[in-house]
Amino acid sequence: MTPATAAVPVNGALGWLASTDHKRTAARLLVTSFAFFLVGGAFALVMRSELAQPGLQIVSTDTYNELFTMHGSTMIYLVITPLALALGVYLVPLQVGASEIAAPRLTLLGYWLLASGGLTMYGGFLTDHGAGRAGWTAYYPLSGGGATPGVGMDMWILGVILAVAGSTLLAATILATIVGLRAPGMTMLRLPVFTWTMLITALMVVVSFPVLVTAMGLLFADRHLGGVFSSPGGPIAYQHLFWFYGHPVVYVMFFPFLGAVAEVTATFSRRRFFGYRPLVLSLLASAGLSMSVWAHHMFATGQVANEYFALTSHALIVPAGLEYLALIGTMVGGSILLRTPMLFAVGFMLLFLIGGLSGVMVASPPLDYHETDSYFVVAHFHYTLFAGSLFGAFAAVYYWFPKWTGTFLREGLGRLHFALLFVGANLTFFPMFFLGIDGMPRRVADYPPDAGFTSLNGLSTAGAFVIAAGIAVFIVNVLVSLRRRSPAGADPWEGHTLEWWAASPPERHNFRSLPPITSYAPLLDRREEPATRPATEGVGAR
Amino acid sequence: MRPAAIVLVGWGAWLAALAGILWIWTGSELAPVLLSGAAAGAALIGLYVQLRSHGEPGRRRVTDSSVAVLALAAGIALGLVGLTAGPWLILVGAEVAVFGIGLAVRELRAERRAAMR
Amino acid sequence: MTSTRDEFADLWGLYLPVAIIVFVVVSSAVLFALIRFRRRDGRVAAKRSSLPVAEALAALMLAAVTAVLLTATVRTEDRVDATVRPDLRIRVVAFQWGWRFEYPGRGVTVVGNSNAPPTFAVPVGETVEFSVTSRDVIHSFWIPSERFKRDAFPQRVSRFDLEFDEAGLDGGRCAEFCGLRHDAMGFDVLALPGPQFESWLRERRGAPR
Repeated sequence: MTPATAAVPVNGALGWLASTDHKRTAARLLVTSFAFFLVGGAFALVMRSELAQPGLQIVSTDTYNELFTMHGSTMIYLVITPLALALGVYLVPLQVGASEIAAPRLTLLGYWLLASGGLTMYGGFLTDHGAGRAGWTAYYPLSGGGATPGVGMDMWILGVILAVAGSTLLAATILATIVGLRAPGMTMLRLPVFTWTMLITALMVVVSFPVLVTAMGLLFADRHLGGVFSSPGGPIAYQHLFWFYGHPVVYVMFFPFLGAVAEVTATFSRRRFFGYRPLVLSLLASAGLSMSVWAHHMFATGQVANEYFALTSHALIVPAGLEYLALIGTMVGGSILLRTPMLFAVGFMLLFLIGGLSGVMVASPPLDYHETDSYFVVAHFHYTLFAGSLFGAFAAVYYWFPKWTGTFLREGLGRLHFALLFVGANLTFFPMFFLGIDGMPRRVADYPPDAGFTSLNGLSTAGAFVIAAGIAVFIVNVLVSLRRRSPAGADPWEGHTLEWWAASPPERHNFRSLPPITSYAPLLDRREEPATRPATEGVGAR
Repeated sequence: MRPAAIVLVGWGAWLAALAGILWIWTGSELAPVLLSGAAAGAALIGLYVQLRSHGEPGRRRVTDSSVAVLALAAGIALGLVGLTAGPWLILVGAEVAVFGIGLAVRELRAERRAAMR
Repeated sequence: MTSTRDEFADLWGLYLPVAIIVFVVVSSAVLFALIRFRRRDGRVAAKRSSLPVAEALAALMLAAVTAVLLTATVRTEDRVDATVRPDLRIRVVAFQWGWRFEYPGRGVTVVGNSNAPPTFAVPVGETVEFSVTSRDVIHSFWIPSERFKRDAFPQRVSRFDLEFDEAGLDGGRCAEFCGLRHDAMGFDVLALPGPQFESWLRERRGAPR
C-alpha cells in the first residue's frame, strides 16, 4: 500500500488545497479572507450609495437589509477573525522556533470548515427568500421562523456554525503550538509580543466561540422545532449567549493586530519593545476583562446589571492605556524609519485611539441609552475595526510580505494606499458620530429628508469611495510587486524575532538551525553583542 | 508547575474572580454561569497542559498533504446543510465524512510506519 | 428630577472633554516621538526598555480617571433609572411596524404605523411613566431629544420615567432592527402645557385614533 505521504505532490493543485504546511494554510486563509473582504466591501459601497440621499434610489429595503446583514457577517465571521488567526497560523510556529504548527491536519480542517461556512452563508442568496437578513446579531424573535422564514436564513445560521467552529480549531492549534512546541530556551517570558497577543486571542476564542456555536444551534432548533427561545425570558437569554461570544470576538479581532503593530514599531524604531512585562500583564488582564463586559451591548434592555458591566467596561481603560504607553515608550529614544509598515502602525495608534475613546463613551449606560443602536456606535466600531484592526492588518502585511513571498511590496504605492485609506476612513466614519447624536438609527435603508442627515451622509459616502480607491491601490501593489520582484533576504528589516532567522519564504520545516534564545528579541541580542555570541551556521546566519 | 499551565490557570482564576463579583451583583443566573464556565474551561485546559506528558521523543512527521481533511470538511459541511436540504444530503455528508475518516486512519498508519523506520 | 436630556448633557460635558484631552495628549506624544526620534545618521537607539516607575504612575493615573468617570456614570444612572410616583402613565405597545399609545384610566388610545405615523401628547414639566412592550419582535422606543431609549421586548414590560421640559413637537424612532419597515417606524411626541394637554385628551376620549 503506498504510504499516504507520497500520494499527493505538494506543488500540484491538490497539494495547494490539501497541504498541511501551516504556511500554506495561512496563505489560504489570507487569500480567502481578502476575497470575502472585497465582497463585503462592495456591499458597503452599495449601502453607502443608497444612503447618500434620502429616498430609495438603488435597492429595495429588503435587499438593503440583506446587504447590511451580509456585510457585517462577512467582515466579522469571514474576514477580520480569519485574518487575525491567519497571522497566528503563519507566524506563531516561526516565532517560537517550531518546525510545524501543532496538529497540522486540524489546522487544515479549521480552514476548510471556515471556507465552507462562508460558502454556505452566501448560498442563501440563491434561495427564494434570499440570504440572512436579521443583522449579523440575528436577535430573536426576528431571527425566528415566524419573522424571518426561508432556507436562506437557515443557511446563514449553518454557515456561521461552520465558520466559527473552524475558527475555534485554528485558535486551538495556535494555543497548542505556544504551549507545547516552543524551542529550547523560549520561556514564556521570552515569547515575542505578537505571540503573546496570539496566546490571549486563542484563549478568548477557545472559551467563548463554542458558546456562539451553541446559540446558533439552539436558534436553528427553535426555527424548526420551536420552544427554545419562545418563553418570556428567551430573547434576553439569546442575547446573553450571543454577546458572550460577541464581545470577546471584537478583542480577537484587535489583539493580533496590536501585536503586529508592536513588532513593527520595535523593528522600525530599532529598539526592543518597551515595557514587556507590564504589557504581558495588561494583555492577560484585558483578555479577562473582555470576557466579562458583554452585557454592555444590552444596556438599553433594562434587563441586565448595568453597573457591573459598566464597571468592567471602564476598567479596560487601565490596561489599554498601558498598552499605548508601551508603544510610545518603544518609539521614544528610538531611531525611527517611517517605511510603509510603520506608517500603518502609526495610523493604527491614532485611529484606534478614536475608536477606543468613543468606546468609553458607550461604556457609560446613561450615555449609551442615547448612543446605542444609532450611528454613534456604528462610528465607534468602524473606528476600532476598520481604522484600527485593518490598519494594523496592513501594517502586518507590508511588514511580513517579504518573509511570506521573498519580495517587497512597493513603497510608493504603499504610501498612496495609506494616504487614501487614512483620509477615506476619517471622511467615512467621523460624520457618523454626529449622525448618531443627532438621532439617526442604525440599520436603516432610508431616512426622512427633513431630518438633517443628508449632508453628513453625503460626506460619508464620498469617504467610502476614497477607501475603495485605497484598496484598489493595494491590489495593484500586490500584483505589481509579485510580477516585478524586488527580492528580499531572510531579514530585510533587521527584525528582532525568530521568523527573520528563517529563509524568505521559509523552507517546508522552517529552520535548519536556531540562534540562542536569550530574550523576546533574540536577533536584536545577537546584533547588539555579536562578539559574545557563538557563531551558528545555517539559514540567515550573518 | 509548567509555566504555560500557570498562565492558563492564573487567567482562569482572574475570570473566576470577575464571575464571583457578577454572582453577587446580578439577579439573572445565565450571565454568571457563562462567565464561571469560561473560568472553569480555562483552568481545565491549564490542568490538561500540566498533566499531559511532554517532550515526546521522535514525534512523527505529519504527512505533507491530507486529502482526508478535505473529505472530512466536505462531509461535515454537506451533512450540516442537509439539515435544510433534506435527509438525503445528510446521508451523503455522512458518507463523505466516513470516507475522510478512513483516509485519515490510512494517513496516520503510514506516518507511524515512517516514524518507526 | 432632572430630565434625561439634562442628565445626558451634564455627563457628556465630562466625557467629551476627557476624550479630547486624552486624544490630544496621546497623539501629540506619538507625533512628537515620530519627529524627534526619526532616523538620522549616527543616531543610536537607546537601550533602556523598562521604566517601572513610569508604568506604575501611568497605571495609577489611568485608574484615577476610570474612577472619576465611573463615579459620575453611576450617580447619573441612579437618577436616570429611578422611577417615582408619576403624574401620568402611558402604555406603549410596539409592533411590526408601528406604535400604539394608551393612556390607562383616561380612555385615550393613539395608534399609527409606517403609513400614518402616530403623534401622542405629554404634559410639560410632569413625570411621565412609560411602560413599553412589544407584540412581536424586539423594537426600541427612542426619543432622541430626550437622549433616551428603551428596548421593547415581547412578553415583558419595561418601565421608565421621562420628563419633557419644553413645549413642542419632537420625533421618535424605532431603534432596534425589526424587519422590513424598521426604518419607517417613527412617531411624534407633542409636549403641551398642562391645560392644553388636558383638552387634547378630552378631544380624543372614547375612540382610538
